[in-house]
Amino acid sequence: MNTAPKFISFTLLSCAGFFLFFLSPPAISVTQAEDEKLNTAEYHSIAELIKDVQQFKEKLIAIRGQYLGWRGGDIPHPGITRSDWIIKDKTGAIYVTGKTSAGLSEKDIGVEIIVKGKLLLSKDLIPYIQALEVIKTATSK
Amino acid sequence: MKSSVFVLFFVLAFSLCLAQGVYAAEWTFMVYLDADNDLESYGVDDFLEMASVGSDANVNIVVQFDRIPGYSTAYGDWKNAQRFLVAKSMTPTVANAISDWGDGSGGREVNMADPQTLIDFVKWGMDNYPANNYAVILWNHGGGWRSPELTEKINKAICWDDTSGGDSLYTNELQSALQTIETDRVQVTLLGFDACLMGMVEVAYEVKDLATVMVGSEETEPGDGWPYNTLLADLAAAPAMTANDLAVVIVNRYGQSYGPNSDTTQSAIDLSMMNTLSYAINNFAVAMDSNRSEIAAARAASQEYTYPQHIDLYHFAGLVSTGVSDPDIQNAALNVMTAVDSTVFAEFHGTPSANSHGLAIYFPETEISFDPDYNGTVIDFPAYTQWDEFLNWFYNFTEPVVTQTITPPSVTTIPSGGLLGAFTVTLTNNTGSTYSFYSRDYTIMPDGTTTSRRPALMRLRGNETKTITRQINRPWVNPGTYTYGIQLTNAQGGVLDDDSFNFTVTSGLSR
Repeated sequence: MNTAPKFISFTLLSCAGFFLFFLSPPAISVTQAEDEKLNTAEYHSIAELIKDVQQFKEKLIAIRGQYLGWRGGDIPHPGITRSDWIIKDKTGAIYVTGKTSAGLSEKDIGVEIIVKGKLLLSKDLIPYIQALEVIKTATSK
Repeated sequence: MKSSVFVLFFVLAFSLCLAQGVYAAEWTFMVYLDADNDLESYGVDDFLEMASVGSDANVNIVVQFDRIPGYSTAYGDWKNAQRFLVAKSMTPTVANAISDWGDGSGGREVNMADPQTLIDFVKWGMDNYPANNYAVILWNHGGGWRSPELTEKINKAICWDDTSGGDSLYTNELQSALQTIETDRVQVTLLGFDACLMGMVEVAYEVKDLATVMVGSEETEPGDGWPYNTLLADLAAAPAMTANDLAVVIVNRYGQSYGPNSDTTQSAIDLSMMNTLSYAINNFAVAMDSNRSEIAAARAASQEYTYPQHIDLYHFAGLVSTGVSDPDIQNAALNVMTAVDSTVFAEFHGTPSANSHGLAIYFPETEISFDPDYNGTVIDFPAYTQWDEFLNWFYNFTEPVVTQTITPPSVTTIPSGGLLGAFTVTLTNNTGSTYSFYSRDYTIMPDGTTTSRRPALMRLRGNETKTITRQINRPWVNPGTYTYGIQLTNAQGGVLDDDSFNFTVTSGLSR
């Protein structure tokens, strides 16, 4: 059996792991396979996104903030589904919708998370994030 | 004289109607509209949809509507709970609400997550608006297994009430509330969940004896929820419809409302079939005690929902039936699919949830996502089936260090005195290190006795797979069915794998 490809794959994965460990934001615990495209998402504050919705609409963005579940944030109703939830940073709050794999539940209210996804507008013109990836950071309780 | 007979006849007929529970109205459609949360504005919209139809002599539309400070300020921005007999074109104002709930006062702050609040509303609705059929719709958020506080049992819940500390109505509390309603009054005919993610086996099992029909969604629901204007118009147009008919209307109108491209689902469940379905699921769970990697592949490919711990039961069973070669597992999977078909009598899904068939089941892909409070002390389904035991097996399964697969000879029926053809044995070392083990051939004779050869020491390099062609160079004389097998053991005698095949020796022919 030719084991060379496996060795090369292992080496590449090791290198990737090294860079992920040392070059990623240090607070993030990488719990999911990193998608190349998602890694290009630029971090923005929620106020930046809401202030200039047209600029960021349909763009891949990332937000770091607190998971609030269905309560708090002092913003209008969820724009898409009844299960939409809120992320809040120091500048504001926004609803998030979509399938996530972080397993967030009410136990996680208040924990720090990173949401990567697209900024969209609901039919009521409420800005929201279509989540593509949700990561609990290492500082999460 | 004639008038006396007429009066007597009328009194007798009226008494007979009461005794048989036949009332003037066909349906009382009760909506437990818990908008004491971020869904308040959608609650207002849905009330107006109901009012676009309004109650009539055959259909009472009764609503308990709880609101919240903040969010919507419409219709006087009242913040407590009010009850309404919804009339055509009515708006949800306090002035239009019922001023006396039977205890001398009307609207008040209530905890919609308290089962007693649900009991009070439904019993009040039955007492004041008697009908032949009762629909109870729980309007709110629906969730997974979750708890507001870590100290509480985590349980699937509905009806979050933010001004009552974020309390929610747990599935077992819903069961006890429905039981009380049935004991004190009559059974609810149709139980609906205008909420996310409630179209699950576990939810249906919890209420299976307490209503005739359940309507719920496997996936999340859009904020607008059910289209009350169209579904109530259908009910008003044909008030004699049965609970099944109404459930079909709800599912179809919901589907029409959001369209085939929406990420929505809705289904109608015949609760009388839940025992049959759970029996099939139990057998399926018991049968799945091997083929772990194939089952994992089926799980990974199954239709998931916004909570990825929920998968479509039928789709999973279908993937198992085609992905696993074990006939016992295949048959058990097919039986589950048949039982789902018999239980779900109306179903809608949009293309994003293309593999939905009406009932989801709890099956986190990894143990990290599994909630240990999914057990029989919290809800009934894991208590009465082996599904949680199957999940435990699935998560704690460890691949043997070495595994083997035997491919039987091409001909497995030979004449007496004949030789068995060649067969192959494929051995795999599932670790990264060289591993030594023993391989022992054995034969189970037609009379049930077993003979075996001395174990042979074997060795595989790390991650190595080796295929060996074997030939047994001795004739088989006695007619009957034999089993030829190979058992792999470690140095301590622990069994690593055991695989075998059958062959038959026929009489009458010899070399």
